[in-house]
Amino acid sequence: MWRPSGLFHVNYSQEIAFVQTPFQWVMLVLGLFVTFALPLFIPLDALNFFIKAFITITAVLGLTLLTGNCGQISLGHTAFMAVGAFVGAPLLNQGVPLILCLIMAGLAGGIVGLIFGLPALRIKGFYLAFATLAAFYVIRFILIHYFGGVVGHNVPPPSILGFSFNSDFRIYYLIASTCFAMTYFTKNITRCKWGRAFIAIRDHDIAANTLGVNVYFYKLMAFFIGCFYAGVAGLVLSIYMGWASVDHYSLTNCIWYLGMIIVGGMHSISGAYLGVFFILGIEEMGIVIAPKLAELFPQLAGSMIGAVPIIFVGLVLVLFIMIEPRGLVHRWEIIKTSIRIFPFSN
Amino acid sequence: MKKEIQTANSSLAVDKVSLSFGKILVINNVSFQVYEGEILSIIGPNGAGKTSLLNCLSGFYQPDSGRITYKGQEITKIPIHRRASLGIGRTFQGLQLFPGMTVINNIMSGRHILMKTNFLQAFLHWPWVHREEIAHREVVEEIIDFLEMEAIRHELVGNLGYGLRKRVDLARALALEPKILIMDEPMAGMNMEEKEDMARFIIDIEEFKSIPIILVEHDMEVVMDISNRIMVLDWGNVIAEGKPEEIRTNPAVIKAYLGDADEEVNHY
Amino acid sequence: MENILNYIIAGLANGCIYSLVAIGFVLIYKSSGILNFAQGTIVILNAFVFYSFTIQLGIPMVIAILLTLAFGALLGFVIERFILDRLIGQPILAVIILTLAFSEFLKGIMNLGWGTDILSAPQLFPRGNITILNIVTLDYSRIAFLVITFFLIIIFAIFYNKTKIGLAMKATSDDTIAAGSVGIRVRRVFVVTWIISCITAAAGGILVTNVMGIHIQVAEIGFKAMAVALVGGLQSLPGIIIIGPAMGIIEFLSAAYLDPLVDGGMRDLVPFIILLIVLIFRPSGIFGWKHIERI
Repeated sequence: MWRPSGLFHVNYSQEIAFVQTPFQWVMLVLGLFVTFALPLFIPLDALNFFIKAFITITAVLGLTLLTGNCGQISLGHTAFMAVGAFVGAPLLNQGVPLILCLIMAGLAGGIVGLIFGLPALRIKGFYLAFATLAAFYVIRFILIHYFGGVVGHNVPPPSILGFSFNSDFRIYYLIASTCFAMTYFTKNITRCKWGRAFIAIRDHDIAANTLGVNVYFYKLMAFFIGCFYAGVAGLVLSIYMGWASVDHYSLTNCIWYLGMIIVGGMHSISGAYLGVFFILGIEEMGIVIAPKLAELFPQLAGSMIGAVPIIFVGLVLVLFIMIEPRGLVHRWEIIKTSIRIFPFSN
Repeated sequence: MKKEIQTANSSLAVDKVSLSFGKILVINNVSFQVYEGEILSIIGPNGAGKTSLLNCLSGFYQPDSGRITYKGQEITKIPIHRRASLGIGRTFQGLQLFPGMTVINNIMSGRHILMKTNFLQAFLHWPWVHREEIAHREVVEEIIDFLEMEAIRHELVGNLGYGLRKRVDLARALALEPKILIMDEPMAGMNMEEKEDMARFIIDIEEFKSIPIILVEHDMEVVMDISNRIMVLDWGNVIAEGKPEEIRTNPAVIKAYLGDADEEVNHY
Repeated sequence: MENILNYIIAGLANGCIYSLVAIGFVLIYKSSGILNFAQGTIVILNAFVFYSFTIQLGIPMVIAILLTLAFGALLGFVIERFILDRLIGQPILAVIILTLAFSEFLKGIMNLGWGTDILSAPQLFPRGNITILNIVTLDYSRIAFLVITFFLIIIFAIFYNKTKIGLAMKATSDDTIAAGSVGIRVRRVFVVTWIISCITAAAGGILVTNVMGIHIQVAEIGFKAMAVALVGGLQSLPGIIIIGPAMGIIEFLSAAYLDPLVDGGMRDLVPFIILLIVLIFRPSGIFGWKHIERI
């Protein structure tokens, strides 16, 4: 990542360490400090934006592993989030400890993801994308018909050791910590043989197979891990909403999530953060501008609020993929290189 | 210079293997053995079935009939990924690398089967995982030294030139500590210098690691120079087998490559 | 017994529309290798435009239909020229998300322009039924569906197999670069496929909203048609022409006989379940064929 020139690693351990330079230590501590002090300084609207961002990042990290690293396109991600929420919410209602609920939600999402990932053993690309889209509808149907979906589940404010997460202010801490823990786990997965196996499958599954990577197993595990993240994020979202309903887990959101990983450059953690903030920022802009547009065009006011953010994000994504299909990170690399070789760049 | 090969120590044995795609017979009843410590080259005109034969050995294709045994164990039907842990390494004809990873990670992925980290350990990055990672990294660095790739170890493979990519491919195959190495046209598309380097590496591997190598290659000069034994395929049939000097003068081989002189005459 | 036959006929008529829309996908997929996830949205957009022409602007029916088809053609041209042009050779995920994001964008626009209520489509065919042998009751619109789709598909088959541009499309789908190097104008082929695809979408939109009403949710017909295309096998036109009606029939039958067991909604689910099963057991589709991967 960002390493000052002239600084070299002197052993292999440094190269795979989570934090590699003193500067990064400073940034990490500063970043954590700012994140946790943030609610004290910003208004509730802005706080809600960050809550949404951290939940989304948790979900998108799963997609980064599954789609970005392992190359398995999943259009069912939000459905797996819904599974997590629908399993976690009743457990929370029965007073099961929060941590356990999060793990159970993750496992439920993961296992369902694994089942609907089975077609991935035989198909890839467009076919798999569409199979997961079909999975989205099937899961949604099952949740609505057999798990009380349209009405959904009430989610009480959970608590850890007597500390109740009963306001947005407090929930922010729960969500930020979950997000950071999941980020750390993602880094761990990507820096060991699992991460390499995933990328190997994405880049060339046959070659991966000859190297002894059991492609079937690792594809399914990618689905399991990616959907584990989805399950956790789904439950966290339902805690924030105070309600678990399939309507919170729409196909549109899933498309935005995949758009985020493209914007962020597909396979890096920093890319996931970048993509989430970029797209959510655009969406927020739409939400802010919509009422003003509604004043300008009163005859369209009825559908303005709902439609404008979608139009904004949709348009931005289309333009973005047209102009820079390899993402912001790729563009950043080009800029970095051209600065480094400055007088010789074009 | 060339050592005598002990014909008693068979490493890999192919017994009457046939393969067809639809009605087209690609490999017809081919049998051969690979002995410990030898370089066996398989040559033949384009479309002779060389790559298909290697793909049977790697498990991409299932032969219609026949048996392939490796160190006395039948491997005809075992899954592709299990062959790696038996010690069968393979390099590819094209560029079957992982372009999204650095050279280091490409080679590290070759050590996949030798690493024991399970899912939970990976998730939490236990100290043990860290130590394992470093231990394997040291082995990989040795391979990098061996194949003289120190300068490019942090490059993305997607940014490398053709010759270097072939070298990464070889390094990756070596990383799984193979007991036999299958190489499919390691020198295709290379210039003279790169070919010489690659030939040197192949000889070094055979010498230092003393593992048998199966080589498919079009460059006759290289094949004649480095192989202990050569097998010639034409239209899926073995038409000759023997030492390089025998193959050079074998009339059937010359016929397969250059066509029959009499036949030529008859055409006109 | 009469019931079953009625369901079958109704399903058949609906399924023909799936085939029609699916042909739109397959054309694009065959020529440029892009599976257009926005097809369903394009279908419904055309239906909205048709609604505006007839009801809002009061243009006579026949002219409105022609104008809508022309709008479809223009839309196809614009999409190919300005969006898809840049996507050839990009990662598959980028292509998928681009078409999906474009579809969401269009949905937003439609939401603004036409609202979220179900609009009733202008009536194309006179209302009324024919009863055959006292067994099957057919309303005129369904008969019209069957006839129109049948003719469109025949025209299409002739176009694709007999005309020069049809052959050029075949060649392009086999190998874009080779087709370009023998003098086929690949860009023009792409434009033509997109135009045709969007015209079929317009035709499908006009027809399908005639029974379902005009509403953004109808866009899901695109996904169902895609399921038909994948089940039939993406390369195989005959497969799609057979699977479409079959899927329609299964849909209607399951709506009739399975819905009571699971309290509703089976109709929208069955195509996806069938698709998942087919993809697991026969990934290249029922009429598709497998490629041997060279290593």
